[in-house]
Amino acid sequence: MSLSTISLSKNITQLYRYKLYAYRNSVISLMIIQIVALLLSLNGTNQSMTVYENVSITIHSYSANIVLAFSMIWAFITAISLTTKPYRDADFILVASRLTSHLSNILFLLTASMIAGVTAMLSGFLLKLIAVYLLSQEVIAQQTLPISHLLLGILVATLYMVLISSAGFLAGMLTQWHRSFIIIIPALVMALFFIEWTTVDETEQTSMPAMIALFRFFGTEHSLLMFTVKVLLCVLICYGITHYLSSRMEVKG
Amino acid sequence: MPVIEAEELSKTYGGLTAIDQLSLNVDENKLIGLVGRNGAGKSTLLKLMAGYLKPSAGSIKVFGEAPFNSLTVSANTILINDRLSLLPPLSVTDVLEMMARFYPNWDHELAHRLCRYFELNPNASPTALSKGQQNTFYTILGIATRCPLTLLDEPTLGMDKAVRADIYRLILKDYLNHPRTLIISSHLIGELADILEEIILIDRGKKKVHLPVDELSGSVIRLRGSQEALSPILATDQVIEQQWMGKGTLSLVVRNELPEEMLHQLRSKQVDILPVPLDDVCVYLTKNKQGGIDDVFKHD
Repeated sequence: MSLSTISLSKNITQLYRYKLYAYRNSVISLMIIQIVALLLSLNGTNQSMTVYENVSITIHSYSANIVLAFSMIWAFITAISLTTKPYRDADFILVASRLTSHLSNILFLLTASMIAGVTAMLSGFLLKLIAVYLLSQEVIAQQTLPISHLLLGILVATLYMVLISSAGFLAGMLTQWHRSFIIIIPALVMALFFIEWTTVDETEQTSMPAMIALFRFFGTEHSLLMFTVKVLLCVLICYGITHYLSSRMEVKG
Repeated sequence: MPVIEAEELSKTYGGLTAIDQLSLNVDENKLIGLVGRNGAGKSTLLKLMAGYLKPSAGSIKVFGEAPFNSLTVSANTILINDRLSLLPPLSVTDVLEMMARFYPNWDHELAHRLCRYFELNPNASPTALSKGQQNTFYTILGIATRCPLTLLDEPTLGMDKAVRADIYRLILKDYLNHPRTLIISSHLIGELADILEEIILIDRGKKKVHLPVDELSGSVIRLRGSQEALSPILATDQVIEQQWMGKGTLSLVVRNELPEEMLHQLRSKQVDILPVPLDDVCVYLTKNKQGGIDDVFKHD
């Protein structure tokens, strides 16, 4: 019987397509999570009231921040689930090497991140439509949003999902590699809130918890290019480490 | 060209040695039984062949390549066991479709016909099937992929006798139509003996024998006769087991390495020379030196 050969790229595509199909339930769970987040957002994420002479003005702010946050949690958990034994072992019943299995996981997570980023951003419009047309009586003025802003929002949201899912993948893979990381990772995250991080500026020296510094590292970046570079760098580090770990992992099955 | 070459292969888990300096050569297009007692290392050996596990020492080559992390070995090898990891949302039909996409030799027609024959619900998740049906399904996958190296680890677990007979027939028929290297590990080697060509017997992680089936079944014989007639045999180190049958009659299981004249002598003294079933041959060859279960009950 002659041996069949398969190229790396063909195998990755095969595995990627298989994963899109086999993991399709994760998209359903994303939708459910986003609907729950939308319902929670209907109350308005922020409310303020001003009384001016005999006119009172109540301002409800609606934003998709909760949907975004929930979607990020989803991305994190989905990434962790890919590192669990049934998911990892299933690839090897089919045709896979550890490299192609890893790369197809990354492709799947990038796709999932894009879906989560796009839907989370668009849900903001749905939320505003509900707020304006269902929750209030009449529309006096309406602001429009240029498409470039929308695309920018989608891009940034997607990048956040990519970042979070790579972190989840790393956390999951570390846990698979050694059980002690089940404790070490949450402990480390909590510790980051208390460890002091000092940045020295030209003018002043500021101290803050390391976790806040980490949030600011991404959150206060105003240049899209820099933000993208920062995210991609972190993602590369996460996937680099997970590749190193997974290339040694055995299929115990 | 040998399909599998193992050289001083060892695999340890923690402090436990599952495979212990095992050397083995398996030729192309053979139907082989892998036999050994529980915990002898059968599953570990199959996983090393499939590239699931990384050797702790020594080397293993499959199709001339180290199987761990080899895409070529993965594409040409399939390992089926009862713990196959198939994701719950996939139905029986889904899994067949998946296999078709990945394995170029996959026989889709055959797989579907077999699923119908064994009455497997095409819409059910394989994990929801009964144990026996699950293993039937997994074996169908193993056969229909037609991989040049097909490894079936205890394929008949949980199957009833009728299904087992069908499965053996299926394996043999498909093997004859599409010769490939097929290794089947099983406890029920007696049932399988008719279809196998060779047997690899392993014990405590070491290879005991690797022989054609006929040679293996002839390698152990049973002698039954009076104690007096059998006493010269008792003096040799060929005796594997002795049992008193009452009234001075002794039944011995011996390695078939006695000289012809000795056998002739025995026959003249009314000693029965009986064949030993293949199952028992394997048991005797891997017999624990510290006696049997009866000895556990003996107190000083």
